Amino acid sequence: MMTDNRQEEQFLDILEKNIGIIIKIARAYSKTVHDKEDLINDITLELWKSFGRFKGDSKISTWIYRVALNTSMNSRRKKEKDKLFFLDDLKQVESQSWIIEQPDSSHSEILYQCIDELNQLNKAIILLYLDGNSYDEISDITGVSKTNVGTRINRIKEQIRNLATIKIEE
Amino acid sequence: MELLELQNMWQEYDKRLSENTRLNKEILRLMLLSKPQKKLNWIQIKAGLSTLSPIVFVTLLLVLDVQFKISTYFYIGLGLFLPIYAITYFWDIRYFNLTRDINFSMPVLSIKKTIAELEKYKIKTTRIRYLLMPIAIIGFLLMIIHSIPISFNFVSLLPLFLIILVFISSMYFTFKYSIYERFKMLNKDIDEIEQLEKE
Repeated sequence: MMTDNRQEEQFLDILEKNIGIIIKIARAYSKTVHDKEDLINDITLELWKSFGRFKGDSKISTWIYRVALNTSMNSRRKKEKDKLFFLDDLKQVESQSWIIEQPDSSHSEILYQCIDELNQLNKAIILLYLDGNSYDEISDITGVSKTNVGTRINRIKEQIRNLATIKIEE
Repeated sequence: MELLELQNMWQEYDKRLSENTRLNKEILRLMLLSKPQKKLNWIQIKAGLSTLSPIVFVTLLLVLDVQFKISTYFYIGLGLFLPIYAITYFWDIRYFNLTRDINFSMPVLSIKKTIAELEKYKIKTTRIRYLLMPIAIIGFLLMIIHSIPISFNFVSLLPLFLIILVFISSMYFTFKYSIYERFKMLNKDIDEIEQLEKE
């Protein structure tokens, strides 16, 4: 039986290793920086809540993607702001504004703007695809059949390509 | 712009994110331990609140000092009110239990489908609740009214007429537009989800 402290430590280690997934998803499903911070808190709490039930029958990343996406899609943003518990790095906070200002990193902002135009499910699929997940993994995380994942990705790629071209020209 | 370029940008962003992100574990640990209420999601909170209705109801009766007089009217009223209240409360409890089964570790589509089905259940029970409400209200009035003063003058009939009119219009608009449309949309969503799950 795992002790509470050991469970906590294990959870924190997993979170530390996978915080990137949570930040990327939270950013894609939020409109403002505050919303993003709230969503990261919500995702973390949902992960903590289901951590005890996680039996390791799927990959850790699959479990994190599922919880993060489900929380993001079903979360209602609160006005009250929680305490910031992570330093989405001092650099990161700076780099968010830096991304907008610097020409070489403004592209990730453009990419997010394009992703934002997609519906919730397509957004999830393309985020998983860009993160390098295979069709099988995307199907496992989303529940969309493998054939449908392939068809959707082709359509989304086309849509993003067009949107990116328009955004860059703007 | 080619998709490959976008993918490269994403990878760069991902790399930067991993390098620049760190956690303040102590504050995180505190948050995880000190905010258990935040571990519930909004659907469960809403469902949980509705299971508290008997407490609210009894408190109201006590605050308003409602007097019951055991008479034939009281028993007729109780016979109308109690079964309806018990049924609707049972639905609330069932809904709450269903929301507790929501597990965010499930695939995205399964959760979408479960939530759509939960909403359908909620709408269905709301619809029946609306239909039963006049009977429950009459039952409750019979329980607290000791005798029914029958007078057919304008002053006593007007408020009654207005109450009935408001109730009927509210039911009409709820069923005709909001509930019906939402129900149709949910069925469509569920069909689409099932289609996506199939090969």
